[in-house]
Amino acid sequence: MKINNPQALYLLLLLIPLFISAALRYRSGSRQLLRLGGEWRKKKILDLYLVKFFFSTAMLVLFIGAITFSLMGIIWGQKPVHEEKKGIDVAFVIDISRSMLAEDLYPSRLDKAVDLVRTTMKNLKGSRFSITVFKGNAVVAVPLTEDTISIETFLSSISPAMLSSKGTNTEAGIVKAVNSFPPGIGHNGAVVLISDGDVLEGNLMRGAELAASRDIPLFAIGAGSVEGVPIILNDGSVIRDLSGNTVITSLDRDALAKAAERTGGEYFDLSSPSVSAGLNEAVRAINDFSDRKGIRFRNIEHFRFFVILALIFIMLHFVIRGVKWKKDF
Amino acid sequence: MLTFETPQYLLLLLLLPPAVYLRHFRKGRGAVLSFPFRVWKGHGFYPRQVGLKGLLFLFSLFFWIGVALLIISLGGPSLSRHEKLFLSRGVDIMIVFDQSPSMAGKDFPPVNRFETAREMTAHFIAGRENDPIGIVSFGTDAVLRVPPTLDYDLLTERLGELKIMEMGDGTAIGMGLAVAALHLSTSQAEEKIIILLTDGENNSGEIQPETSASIAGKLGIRIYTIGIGTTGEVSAEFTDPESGSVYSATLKSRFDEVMLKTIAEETGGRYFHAISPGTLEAVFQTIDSLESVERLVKMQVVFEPLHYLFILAGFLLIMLEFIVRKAFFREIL
Repeated sequence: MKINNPQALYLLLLLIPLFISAALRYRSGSRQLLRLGGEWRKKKILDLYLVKFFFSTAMLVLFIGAITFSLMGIIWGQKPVHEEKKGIDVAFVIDISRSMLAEDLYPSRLDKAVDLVRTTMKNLKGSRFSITVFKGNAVVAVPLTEDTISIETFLSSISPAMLSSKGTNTEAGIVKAVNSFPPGIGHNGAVVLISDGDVLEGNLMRGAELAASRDIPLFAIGAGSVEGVPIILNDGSVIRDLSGNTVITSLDRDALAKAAERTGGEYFDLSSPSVSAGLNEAVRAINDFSDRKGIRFRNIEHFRFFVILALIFIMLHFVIRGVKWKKDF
Repeated sequence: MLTFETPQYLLLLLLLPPAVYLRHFRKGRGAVLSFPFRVWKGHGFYPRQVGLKGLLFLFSLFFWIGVALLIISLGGPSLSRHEKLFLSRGVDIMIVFDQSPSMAGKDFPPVNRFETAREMTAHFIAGRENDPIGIVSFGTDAVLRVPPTLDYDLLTERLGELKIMEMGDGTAIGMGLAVAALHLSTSQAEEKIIILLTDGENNSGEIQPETSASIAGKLGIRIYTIGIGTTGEVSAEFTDPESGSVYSATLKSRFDEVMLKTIAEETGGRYFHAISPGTLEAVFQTIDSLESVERLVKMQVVFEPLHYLFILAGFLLIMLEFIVRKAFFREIL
């Protein structure tokens, strides 16, 4: 089971003011009923009021719960759909922020990333590739092409100096890469993000949401170590913050893995010896699906069950309030 | 277009009118507490509350609209659109663009040869579908501006960034063709072509145009050559992109027609001479029609689910009605 929109759970916060107002309303409601109904039928009215109030409030709470679940995008099971797409287009999104110069991977995170791009292109011969680089903003450096010579030319000169903006905006990189797939090209698309996950701007999950909405899996490659290292520049100095402290850059593995999982992709460590083989296998698997007589299995989102429950609860809430149980009330 | 995945759920909407009747119009409906409004055997009084009742009914409508939206969401509303899916490959096209100063010749109104060529190229790109197109530009040297790609937006953007004399004041036709051939060499397309746009003679670069053409021919690439401009003296004006200085001169316009013809014939392409914007447009139209391949296209319907919006809107309306009843009308149940 997977959940597409866990943020829908915030709706449950509505229950707090609902409970408080229910308590207050019950107190004042009892007083007003007595005033209107008269002391002579006090017990009869108040007993019924308590029961009706309790059940109508309970139904409203259940209604809010069911609506929340329907909005969460709960997924389980798969269904076969006809798929015409064949072949793979891969959009590489490479973080060229200065933290990628860290040498916790030999010779550096960035050089190791470039090696992985080269190996992946070799493994996926015949595919089309694009390169998007990002720092504070993102640029499609090489559009989707079969021309590996132009990609190689670009890779040989890649460096943080290519973009003047500061920061790390992974969302911008993913958005550019996803939009670099022209519509109707009849290929399966995949985004390979290589970053240390040190997000300073944008929202990585928003980028992942966009990729997921276009059925494009995101394969996240984490560069660096969780413990972190200082960033050493060409002249041997280290980068310091405004207070003079050495800046430590560390890998945010969880954020990258979560983003990949959201799109149906996978996470790999750039430091792992099997990263290239794993990525190759995972990307090829997208195409394998569509080669099986054009059938692909898609996840089924179950919202109807919860909407039906919500309708039942709100109608019960309504009936409890609106139907006379006894002659008086 | 709005479509429904499971429209049978919409039949539930038929239950709404009886429910509205039972709740609002039936005699003896509940949620009403009867109490005397007059003294024993006296006359009663019945306060007129038309406005209040109308307001109450209006907010009740919010509730019923909310319920209707939830029922509609069960139908799986989606926005559908048709999208072309190309199942076959198109032609790989490389446009080789002359950026030498002579392209500033004003014999191509309204501006000059360069701007007209750029505009016609942009029209040509916009008219193609599923054909990867790239751009190489040349002056004293040649450079790949965009590799063959289907990303036409980026292609047009980069085309618009080209400037006269950006690559020096020479005319390296051979280099331009060689770079274009190199970047088409890895293409798996069955049809590959180069469109050369120039107004001059090859006077720069280490590779002769004939050599480049021979390489292209061996790679199965056809070259269409377009000689732009009239012959004779032509006035020109351009801005040097490095210094920003504006140059104005009279050029002796000529191009090597024999060389352009030879290149085209050797590779199975064609030579064209465009002496005006109109003829250049016609040339591009001719190439466009010559280079049409059989395409296998499938129209597919793409659905964008909207049920979230309906659920959210329905929920908000129901809760709004609830809040108004409790907070404004001070309903006790």
